[in-house]
Amino acid sequence: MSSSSSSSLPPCPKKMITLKSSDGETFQIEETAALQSKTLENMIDENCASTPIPLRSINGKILAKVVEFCNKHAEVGVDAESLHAWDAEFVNVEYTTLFDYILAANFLEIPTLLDLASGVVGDMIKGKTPDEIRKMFNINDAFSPEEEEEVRRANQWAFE
Amino acid sequence: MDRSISRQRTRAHTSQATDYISRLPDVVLVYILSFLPLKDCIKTSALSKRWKYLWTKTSRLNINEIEIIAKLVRSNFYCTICEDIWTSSTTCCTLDKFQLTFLYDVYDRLTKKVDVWVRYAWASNIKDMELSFFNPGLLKYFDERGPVRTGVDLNLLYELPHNCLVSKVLSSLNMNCCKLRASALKVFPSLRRIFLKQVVILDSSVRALASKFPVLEDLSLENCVISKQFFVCEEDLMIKRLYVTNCKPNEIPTFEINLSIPHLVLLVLHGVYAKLTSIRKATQLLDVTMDIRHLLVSEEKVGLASLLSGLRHCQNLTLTSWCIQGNFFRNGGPDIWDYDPEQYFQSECLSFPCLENSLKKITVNGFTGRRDEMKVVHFLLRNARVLEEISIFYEDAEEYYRGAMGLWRQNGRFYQIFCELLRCQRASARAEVIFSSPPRENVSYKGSYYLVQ
Repeated sequence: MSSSSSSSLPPCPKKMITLKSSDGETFQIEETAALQSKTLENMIDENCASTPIPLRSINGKILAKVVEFCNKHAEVGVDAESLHAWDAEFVNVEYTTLFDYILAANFLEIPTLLDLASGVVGDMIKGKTPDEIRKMFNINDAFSPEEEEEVRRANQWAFE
Repeated sequence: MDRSISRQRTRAHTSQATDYISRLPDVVLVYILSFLPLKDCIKTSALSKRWKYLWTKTSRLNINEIEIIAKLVRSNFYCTICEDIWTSSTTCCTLDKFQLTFLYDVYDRLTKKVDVWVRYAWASNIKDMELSFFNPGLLKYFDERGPVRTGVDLNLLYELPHNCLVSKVLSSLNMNCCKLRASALKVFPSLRRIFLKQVVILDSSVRALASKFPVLEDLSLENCVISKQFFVCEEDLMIKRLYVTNCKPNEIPTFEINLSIPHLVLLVLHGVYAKLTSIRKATQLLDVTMDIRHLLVSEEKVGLASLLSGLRHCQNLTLTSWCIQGNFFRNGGPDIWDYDPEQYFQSECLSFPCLENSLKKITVNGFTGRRDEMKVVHFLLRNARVLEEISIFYEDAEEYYRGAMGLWRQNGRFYQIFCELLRCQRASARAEVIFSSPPRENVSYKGSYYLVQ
């Protein structure tokens, strides 16, 4: 995010857009980085991005991370391996934060972030019993034991 | 509150805590499920009421766990999951990808059941489908070089059912290890890509496929059994990309190619035997790979050059030395060693338009340095005006490595080839000549020389 490229090209100020989180924080992001979000891309295309874009479902803490993610993935010349390591570190967070990333990525339509975070949740679920999954995520709109038994019976092989 | 005591005990500690995952909308949960294998996916149906049917809405479904399927086919549970999937996919959503692997054995007498499945699958809202009907007894029949001539009874293969309705959504179809009679199918209205692997095609001509798949763009046949006239078709074939890898008729080793493909942009031929009569109207071709060990060309034509001379925009050309030995410019002949390609082209009034303005990359595999091969390389270098790279892979790895380690004798063959390539006159100043060892993954030292003029 330094201005290293400013000397190499004729003066062409980077286009910045401003995002505003649910708790009123504002963030600047380069238009090229913002284009990873389909939602923002549409707004840019329709010239709705000249004023700060309010994102009422995303708080400042999460939005800061999402902007960081987009900037990292817009960087030129990052090799796949180090990006992969960076991504792994990025999603190494508590469940709450991880699900916030997913919600934000879903709202902003950022496929790379959505895939990354969803894949991590998928890996958590993989190989666990329903009870373990319930405990892990605190799922509590439960079946009655009879109902659960019926579900298990329907596809018994999967529970063996 | 009539919950059992055991349930109260197991859930007690969760009652106060927040349910993290349930604030995600269904569409996101379904997306997460699409990353899971089927078994884990189905297990989530026991999590809670909300999760009960979520897994049936996933947009990618991969049922390729052979053992599970084998178990399922033999039990009624099989039908249950299918019904769940089909009901959901026909009523509300479209599956992006669906893979199903059967372990098919004709003696299990499950053919009818499998038929019902395939009918369901084709009629459902699935965009991209892969169906495999592996039969362990037949796998040895299809080795990596294509089907082999042994006494295997092809009746053991599953034949795709006839006259099924096909969904308008289906755009890509992969089928492995089965028999296909396209003429007995209904039309696949939106199918753009078809990949057949180890499939016995019972139709006598590619025309049958073309008529049932009207918007087909990609046709890929790998290790398939085809009739010897399968690729002979007078009418225009409207596909854009054609891949034929190790295909052959059951009874004889070779088949003929005589096609008219006006929209073709990519052509890949790999195999041992083929008779290339002609590929007509293929003026849009951008990328051509010819890797046929014994390529026969019919007498009245003038070899591979006749195909290549029709190319106006070709950018990438890959040839194996088998293709250029002897029959590049003409069909063999005793004077092959002595004649001059340019003169020949003039005398036959052939031009090579892609050499003038489009051909950027040439690859020659299995190069042995014979004189006729060298002539072709010379010819290409002398005439390709916009060439950027020619990669030549030397056939004999051992000799190459000895050479690469500086052990070649000054008058040795390898050295001579090397020097001759270096001396080649190049029409394009940008052309790089890369001389490499054969591309093999398990070779630890892999070097190449950039020959700079």
